[in-house]
Amino acid sequence: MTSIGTGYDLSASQFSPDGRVFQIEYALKAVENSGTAIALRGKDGVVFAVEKLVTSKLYEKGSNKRIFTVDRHVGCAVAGLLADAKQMIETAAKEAANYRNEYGCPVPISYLKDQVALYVHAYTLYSAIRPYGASVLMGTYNKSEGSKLYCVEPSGTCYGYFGCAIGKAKQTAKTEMEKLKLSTLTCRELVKEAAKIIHIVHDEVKDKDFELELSWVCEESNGLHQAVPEALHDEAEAFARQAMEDDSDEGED
Amino acid sequence: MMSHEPEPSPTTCGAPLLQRGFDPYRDNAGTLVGIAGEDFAVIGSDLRLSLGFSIFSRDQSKLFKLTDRAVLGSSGCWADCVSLNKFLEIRLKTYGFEHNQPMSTKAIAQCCSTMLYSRRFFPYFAWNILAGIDEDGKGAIYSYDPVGNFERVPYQAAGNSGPQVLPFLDSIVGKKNQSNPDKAPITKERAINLIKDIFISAAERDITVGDGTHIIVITKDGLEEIRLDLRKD
Amino acid sequence: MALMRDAIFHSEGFDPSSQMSPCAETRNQSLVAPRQRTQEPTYMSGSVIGLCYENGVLLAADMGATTRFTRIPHQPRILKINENTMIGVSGDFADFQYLEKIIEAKMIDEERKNEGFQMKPRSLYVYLSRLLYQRRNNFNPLWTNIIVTGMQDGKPFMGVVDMIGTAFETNLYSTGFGNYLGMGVMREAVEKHDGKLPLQAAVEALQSVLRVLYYRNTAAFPDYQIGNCTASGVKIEGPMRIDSEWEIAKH
Repeated sequence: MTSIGTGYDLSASQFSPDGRVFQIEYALKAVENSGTAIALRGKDGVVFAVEKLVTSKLYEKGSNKRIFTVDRHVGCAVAGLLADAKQMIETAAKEAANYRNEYGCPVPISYLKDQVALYVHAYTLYSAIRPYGASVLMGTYNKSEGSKLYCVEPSGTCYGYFGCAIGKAKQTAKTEMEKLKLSTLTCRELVKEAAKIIHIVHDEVKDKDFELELSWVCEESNGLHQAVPEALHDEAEAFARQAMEDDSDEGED
Repeated sequence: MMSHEPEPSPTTCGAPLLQRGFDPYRDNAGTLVGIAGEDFAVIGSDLRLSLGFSIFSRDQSKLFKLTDRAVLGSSGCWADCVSLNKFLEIRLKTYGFEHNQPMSTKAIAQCCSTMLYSRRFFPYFAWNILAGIDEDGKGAIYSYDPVGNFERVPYQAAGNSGPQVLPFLDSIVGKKNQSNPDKAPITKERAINLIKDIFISAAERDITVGDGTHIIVITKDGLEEIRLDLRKD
Repeated sequence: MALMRDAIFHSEGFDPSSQMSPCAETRNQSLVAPRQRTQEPTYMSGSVIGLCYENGVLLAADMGATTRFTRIPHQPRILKINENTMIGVSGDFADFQYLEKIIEAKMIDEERKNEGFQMKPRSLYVYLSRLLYQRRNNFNPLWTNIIVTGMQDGKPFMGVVDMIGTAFETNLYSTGFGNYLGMGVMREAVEKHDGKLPLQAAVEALQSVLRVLYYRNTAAFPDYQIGNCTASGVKIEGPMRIDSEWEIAKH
């Protein structure tokens, strides 16, 4: 960010001389301040996991959730400013409902992600408004087309992924993901891996407490986006803890 | 509502003619009787909800408890009655929040009228009687027409059997056209029994009255409800 | 001139051709004429009958819709809304399908936002009554009668809403012809068991009403569905066929 303070970073409607829009980059920074959210695309569905940082003991358990359902078949995990993210989710939900009303079938995610991206992009063009400070991971599964996963960013770009991470520890998380053979794994296995990744990337020193959010949209959930069953959630959490312990044991040797 | 219409029809005074085959009203009948006493008011309704010869429900009271000192009876087009009372309920709630006290019966009476008149040109087809206790603790009955004309009266009968019951009330409660009538104010027990008798008799003459009657007695201590079975044929 | 044209236009009956014809004259007229709204239904479906029994509530309806000349068979009209709510709809079939859509959208929204909390039947009943009342206020009615049933806080619930927004709760009801032909049969069944009607007797009562309706109504269909809502959820069975006896008609 060499050009910071040169006056080109005050408005989303102006490029810097080297062709960048700083407001968008700052928005990305906002995303990187938030707890990590990941999504893994396996052979039979998509798994979402969120490291929800608990910044105060006064919060009720389960509040400020960061995994959302957009339509029955589309799940989302978000990172960044929660209020901004909610607005993006709401836009997606309206688009999905509208599609259902018009065409009588669930919205294809390839269309839905474009609509959301288009909407977000519009906020990068004008001086009077600021871009969205949130990224959204969006995934779905159905029998005929299999699983799909996209990430919509504050710039309005949207890529498809086999595995994606956003937020604080996205780099570490992505490195962890690369160790997995995602397309061969089932969601049951991925849930554990996802939990493990979140536990690995969590920085216990800086962010003390966190809640693990897990959801999936897969074969087992009949193509519906749902919270992972409680038993499996506990199992995954135990698996993650065990893996962390094994890891630290090795470290001591 | 229709401001985007290019050329409003002059035949309907500027308001575009909207209706042809569709009749928005239904007469679901229902009868209401209210009597005010010195320190109480009694209001009763039948429990039959009907349309023509078919009975919709045998247990539908037409009395709406607005506050603990006011009850509104609504009969006529049931859709309108329900809606009117829903809107009224909202008004009463917001009034309560703004004033920290429930609306007085007198204020409710005016409020009802205003709401009815707000639909002057597409009226609520609802015959209403409001019964309650006023600021001085006296029993009050307010009588309405469907477009909001209202007055405070000592007793009133409305709805399907209203025209048959009212002259009877004139004679018994109002002591009209009698030489040297006993002008002592009506007692609570007498008023309740009178309303019971009225519904029993109305059920004999009017096919829309039957199944049961719901009576609410309003005193300074609150509402007391009475239910009585009527013939079901 | 406009006045005269209006007077003529308004006094005429509904003429679909004037709505569809692309000729200039009609186009010009439709500029002046009031917006056309639902004046009469097209495809209509017959009675929906419903009955609260001992530990649940039943809905039944034949399957199909008709105009005066044409029939569409095998159309289900009983909908499961969620685990504790189901509705049965009679009347204009297009309006029913429209309702189906908006209710589904509402349910998705509920599922999305409430995380497990489900709308209860009385809420849906009140919502539909407001919707239908609003539509009639705009002289654009949804030409339907709806029976909303389900388990409300562990108790059987039945609410009825008609096309102008009339709304009431009751324990048994039938829309359409069944209102005349079937309510007596159902009420007798309920009263015979002193309000503790067992499931089997309730089903039999509904079946006998369906049979009468099938015999007496040219627009009725022999296939039917029965929906059952209990504390353990909504189950819609069917299509089943009304057992009817037509031998006598051959003589």
